[in-house]
Amino acid sequence: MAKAAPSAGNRPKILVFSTNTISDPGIDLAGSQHMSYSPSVKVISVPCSGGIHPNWVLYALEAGFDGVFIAADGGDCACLPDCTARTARIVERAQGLLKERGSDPRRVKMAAICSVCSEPFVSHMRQFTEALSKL
Amino acid sequence: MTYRVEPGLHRDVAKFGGGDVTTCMNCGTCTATCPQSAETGGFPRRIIHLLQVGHREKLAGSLEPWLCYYCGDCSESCPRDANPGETMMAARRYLTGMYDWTGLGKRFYVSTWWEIGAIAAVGLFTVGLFALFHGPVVTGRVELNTFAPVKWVEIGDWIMGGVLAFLLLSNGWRMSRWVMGAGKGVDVPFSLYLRKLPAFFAHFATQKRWRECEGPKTRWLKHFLLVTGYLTMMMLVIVGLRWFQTDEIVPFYHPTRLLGYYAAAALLYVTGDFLLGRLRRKDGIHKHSEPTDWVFLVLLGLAALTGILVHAFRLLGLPLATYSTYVAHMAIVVPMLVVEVPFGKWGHMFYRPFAAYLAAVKQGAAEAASLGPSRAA
Amino acid sequence: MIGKRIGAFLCHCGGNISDYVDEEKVRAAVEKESGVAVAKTFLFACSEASQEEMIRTIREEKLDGIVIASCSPKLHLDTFRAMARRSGINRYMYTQVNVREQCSWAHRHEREEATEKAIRLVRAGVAHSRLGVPLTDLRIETTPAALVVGAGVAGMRAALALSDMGIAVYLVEQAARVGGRVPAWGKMFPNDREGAEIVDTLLQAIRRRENITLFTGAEVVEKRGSVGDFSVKVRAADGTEEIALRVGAIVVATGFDPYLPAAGEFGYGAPGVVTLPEFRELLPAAEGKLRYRDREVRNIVYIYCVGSRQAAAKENPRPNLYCSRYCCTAAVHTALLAAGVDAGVNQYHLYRDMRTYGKNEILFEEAGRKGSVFLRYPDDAPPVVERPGGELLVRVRDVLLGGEEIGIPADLVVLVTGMAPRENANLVNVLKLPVGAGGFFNEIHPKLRPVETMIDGVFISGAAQGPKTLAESVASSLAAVSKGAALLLKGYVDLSPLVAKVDTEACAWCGECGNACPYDGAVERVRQGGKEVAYVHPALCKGCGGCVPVCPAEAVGLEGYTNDQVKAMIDALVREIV
Repeated sequence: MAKAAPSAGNRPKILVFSTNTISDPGIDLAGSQHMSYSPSVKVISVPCSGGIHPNWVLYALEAGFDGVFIAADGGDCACLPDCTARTARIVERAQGLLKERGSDPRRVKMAAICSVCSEPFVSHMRQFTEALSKL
Repeated sequence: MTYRVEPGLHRDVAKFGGGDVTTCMNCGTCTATCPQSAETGGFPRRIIHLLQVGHREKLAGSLEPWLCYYCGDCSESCPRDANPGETMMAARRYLTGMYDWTGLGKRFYVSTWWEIGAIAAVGLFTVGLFALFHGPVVTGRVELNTFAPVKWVEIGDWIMGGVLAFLLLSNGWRMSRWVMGAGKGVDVPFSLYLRKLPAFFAHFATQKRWRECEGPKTRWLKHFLLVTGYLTMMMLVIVGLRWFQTDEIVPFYHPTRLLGYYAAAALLYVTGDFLLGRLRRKDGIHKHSEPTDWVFLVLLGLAALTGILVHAFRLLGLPLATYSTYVAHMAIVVPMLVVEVPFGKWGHMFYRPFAAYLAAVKQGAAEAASLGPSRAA
Repeated sequence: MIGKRIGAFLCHCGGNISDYVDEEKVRAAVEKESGVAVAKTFLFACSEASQEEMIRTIREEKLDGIVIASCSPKLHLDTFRAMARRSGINRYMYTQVNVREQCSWAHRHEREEATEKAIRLVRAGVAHSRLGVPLTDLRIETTPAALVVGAGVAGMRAALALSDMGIAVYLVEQAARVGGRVPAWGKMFPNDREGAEIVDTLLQAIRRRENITLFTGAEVVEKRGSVGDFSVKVRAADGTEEIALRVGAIVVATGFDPYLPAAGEFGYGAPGVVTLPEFRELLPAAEGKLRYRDREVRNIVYIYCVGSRQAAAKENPRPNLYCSRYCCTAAVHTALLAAGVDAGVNQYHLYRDMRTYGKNEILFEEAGRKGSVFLRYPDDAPPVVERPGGELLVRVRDVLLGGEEIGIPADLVVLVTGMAPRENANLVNVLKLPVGAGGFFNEIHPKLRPVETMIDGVFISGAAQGPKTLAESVASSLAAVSKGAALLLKGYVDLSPLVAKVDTEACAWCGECGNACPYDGAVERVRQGGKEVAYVHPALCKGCGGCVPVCPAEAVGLEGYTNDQVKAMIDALVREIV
């Protein structure tokens, strides 16, 4: 079916950290609307993007993922009033850890994905896939 | 300088009749519906808003009330039943009162008793003149020209015409000053006033703008009939009185008889029709009648009726009936002209075409102004 | 972990999954996964028959945990947790893997790749369940009493409604009198009932209730405990007396402050320029003619949106960007009352947008019919109030006149002021209430959880939450009552056990977790095993994980999302498929 598209094995492997109540429904919606993105994208869900440990990001990249995408709660977060700032700090710390290890900090990316953000999610995946292919 | 509005202006204008001005929520449905307001930008809403706000200056300088022919579409489409058409009518009355520098116009509109009193006074004065100065009463046969010599009547005609013309023109002068002053910054060369003058006569004779209103043209047609009838009669009694008021019985096909019949028939038919319309109150536009509307129509109808009666009595050879009906006819026609033309509803015969003329002048000036700088650029 | 027996159940979802994913291949691959005792496929896992079969399998195979690969957990997480419990295993030993929305539906044209992804996702689910531990909900017995803070109409109505349901109520009012802002308001829209009368009716009713205790001139000064069982201290304003109360829920109905214009804002401070509440106080005394400072009032100009929908400016450094909701209708209603006193008074309403929504639109129309004139001014050119020669003049750009400026002579300028958040620093501090962008208390979700706050058991109502009309305030206070009563009448609350937990061996108390936690009292410093460690209070923790990334020792983890679990899932996702 996918004529010229590289097989999943060749496409960058992306780990998405998503949140149960906000970005997960957005990612679910993309599937419900039959929008497609690379099958090399895998999702692990957590309660809040402000609770992701930078070490997990590092661990995933070392384990074999090509990139980690944090689908942040953004302003919709019900549990942490400063959720976006916290998530941004986690991303910065992860990027710092990557730099220390000589890795490209662009392998970590963050964007707020709301509960109906199916299109933004798919386009983020497309762009991130392309960006990672070039690294 | 910021214009200071007059709070409660709408209460003032309400004395001249009109819709419920403050009920209007400025939605603009009336303006969207109005077939006349497309190019002039926004009436009836603009006029209603001026009244709400109390902008007397802008109201005085507005031509819009005269560009409305009261088709009634606005009142029918008004979601608040604020009756914008009737408010435009009241604005015309109010403006007529404003233009008139004597202050009598306003008084007649606001007080029915003043108006009827004035008509009665002028009527009695006319009767008085005849009582004092009539010629010999010939009873053997009809000699109207002996009873009321045509040359004396003609002199009276001219005096009255002169007074009326003076009043109308001076009021028109006031109107044009306010209107043209409202378009500040636009220079109007005197030649433009002259070049656009034909517009006045075209609108006066034909009311052609009215035809832009939607719906059947019957109201325009009736009105046109009325104007032709009225103008014909004016020509007969002012210019052609010496041929019209004769004791000789001219043949049926004689121009004065044919024209006279036409005018009388037109006036009687149209006033009768208008009166019936106002009595029946079937159409939206005839639901509200102010006393001034009745007075005008009744006088016009009576004038035509007495006029044709004079003619009939003359043909029948009834001298006394002819003379007395003639006096009655004059006692109606004179106050009708003296009170209604400069101070009352009949003023619109002049103000409407004059407004159309001023609108044409303004448009011409605006066009010239918009052409000028662009040429320079 | 060793010896844990996991069952993997794969759902076809009719064909929604199996049309795009080779389920048999997934099953075969997962079956080989270590720890997996059994792997089965089902046409519809959620069907009654399938659930019965799964329960049988769980019992026959003596499984410790299960993984179901099906649709999104949003649909069936609770269904299958309940099934797990029926089968006899712990409901938190169940992991749901989303292979429909996040796999089959998203990769419909790549069967092979989708199948491979499904295998990896199920493996991660298995890894999650293998590292899971049985957990139980935290059950807290509730105290059948409630604290209502604020005895305005919203608070009084809340107290009565709680009392109706047999819940004891402590109603605490800071002021000496009950009723808040309402008694001063006079006749209120929509039915012209006197505010004082409304308050009096409520007060009489409250006095008749034996299970309502009213404290006036008192303040809440301390709150401890958690949902269902709060200990609260109420202190008399003069500091003489302090009473300790135990309540299961708290309803906050502290109302608003009317926006007070700064001196010079729209001429405020000059004679003849008053706020709407000030004008309301002039009205009841007026008979026949309106008078202000012994002068007859002929022309009133109302300026709308004062203190609402305003950006920050020199005069009001704290901007109120929100609409205050009540003021348009209140001003229109006031104009009707003024016209009732003197039908000949001229009233100009200078507005930005007329928002007499719902049934109140009738009042707007009525005001027009009674002579009020409505005039819109542009957002960027508010009216200017001047006193040239001692007479008030309001200069305003009239939108309908193409923005041309007119001057309106006025005897009285009424500033239609909005609602401002009430100055309540003490209470915010005591209750730890989240404050939103506009300065009002914040709900969890404006549509779906409009009266609940992030503090379990504390509910907000009325204008304390944001500008509201009286009717809306009462509706919201009754909503808060129903949420609070539901909690208290059940007798207990079950709290999710998916909260943070400290590995006391690894923890060396640095305090970072406590700093990161926004919930008062959730993290405590305790001594254990001869050293200081952090302790997370399970009833106060919200399970957000905010403390997880700040711990330098990876000593704190969320149940269900531990460091080990996440890392094991990552491993399972990348491991080669052989």
